[in-house]
Amino acid sequence: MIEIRNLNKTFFTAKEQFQVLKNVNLNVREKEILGIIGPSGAGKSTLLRCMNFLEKPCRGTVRLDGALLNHLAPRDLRRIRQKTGMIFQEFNLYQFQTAAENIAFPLKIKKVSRGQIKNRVIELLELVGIADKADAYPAQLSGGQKQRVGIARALACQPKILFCDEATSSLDEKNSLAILDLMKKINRALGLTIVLITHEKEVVQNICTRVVSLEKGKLIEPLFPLTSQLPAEVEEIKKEFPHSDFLYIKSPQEFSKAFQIKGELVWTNGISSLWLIRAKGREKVFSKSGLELKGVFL
Amino acid sequence: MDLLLSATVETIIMVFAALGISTLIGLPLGIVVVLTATPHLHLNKYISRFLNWIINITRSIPFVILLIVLIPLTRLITGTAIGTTAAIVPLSIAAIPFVARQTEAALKEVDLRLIETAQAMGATTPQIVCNVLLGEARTGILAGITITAVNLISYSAMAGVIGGGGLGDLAVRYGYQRFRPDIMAQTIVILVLLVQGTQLFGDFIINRMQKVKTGN
Repeated sequence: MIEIRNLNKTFFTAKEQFQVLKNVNLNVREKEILGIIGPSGAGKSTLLRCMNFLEKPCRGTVRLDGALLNHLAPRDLRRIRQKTGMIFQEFNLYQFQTAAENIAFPLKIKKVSRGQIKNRVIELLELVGIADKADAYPAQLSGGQKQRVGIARALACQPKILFCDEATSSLDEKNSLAILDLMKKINRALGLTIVLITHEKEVVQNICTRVVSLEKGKLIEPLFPLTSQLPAEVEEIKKEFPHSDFLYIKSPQEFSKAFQIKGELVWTNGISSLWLIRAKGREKVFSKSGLELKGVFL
Repeated sequence: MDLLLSATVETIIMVFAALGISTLIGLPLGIVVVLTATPHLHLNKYISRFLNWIINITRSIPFVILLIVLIPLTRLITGTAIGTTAAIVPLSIAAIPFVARQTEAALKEVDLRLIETAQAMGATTPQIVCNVLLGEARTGILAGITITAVNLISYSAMAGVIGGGGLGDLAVRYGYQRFRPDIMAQTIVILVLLVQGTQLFGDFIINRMQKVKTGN
């Protein structure tokens, strides 16, 4: 769906330069819900904006649905963007437009006929569950309702992919969960690929089918989906290291090269250096020193 | 009474015409200034600096002087250098940079994220200008046009210098030079009413729009 290769982005100010993304490689697979987590300032937002070229990378390539964005003419880039949807933390609704007008905007941009727009807007309002709010202005809507309008607007042109920029971060827990449910629903019902960035672990655990972590501009890919239940033994190891937040590994290739272990790395607690390796149908836990931990066979 | 009526009509004509012309030119000028000064739109420091320079220079010339300096241009455009029609030229030219500045200030208030949102949808710059910039800054732009109208009423009083007619001219020629305090008083009352009416009308529309934004 999206292929990102050796992506680098540096912001230049008058005095200094700041490299936000360092050699990021990432594939977004079709119909997955990919979570990009990381502390604020890690470059999540920039990475997301590079995916539709709202931000142009300094080096590296981005392919969206087969099209190489780097060399596209502005006109073609706009056409590609019409096939994507984006929702935001602050909703970014147009204040002087009603919910229906907001949702109609991307269709208007695409020059869809008025009759079709009308029907599509009704359809979308029903999909996101605010059919009664068509004529309300954003100021008259609650946060959750605003984000529903945002989602409906993002889905207006039947995109293949939805980008979510901290979409639930400014909502309370109840609304946040409702919006996540809605995202899950559209992912399944419409076969939509979703890329979301968040600093909230709960969001990731709730809906993501895969998670990558961004730290100081570098991408770290965990091999174990955070949503899956860990084997009981692994849970126990995890208990010994309660401070390890995310399960990730810096580089599986590097690891196996360094320790001459052939096999698939399925789990790591990242910070405290334990790895779960699957080889020939068996799984073993290794410590960072490369030594097999005695007695831990899974 | 006839004098007063025709002077009022002249003032209104001058103000309306100048307001129309200056908005027609000043508004796009303000838009271009913002577009060329904003990264992610059409950042072009040279164009925005050049326009800013012109706007600043025009704005720093006092209107009375502009009125005289522009006489050749006025003659070129209207065929005459005196009269109400002739006064419209310097009035418009004085108001253009004013409208441009007001527009620029209003457009700069629009959240950049709203522009980015439209870009993410694949909107072209004209679509962003029409729907996002002008749409979201509509109250600010209207406030700017209202202030311009009020300023034009006061500027139009100076148009008497080139025989432009209008209330200001009447007040000077009859009220002051012919010692007719009654006419002076009447013109002042009408001018105050015009300014207040303009301001109230502008505020009324702006408030009605603003209600949408605040949700009351």
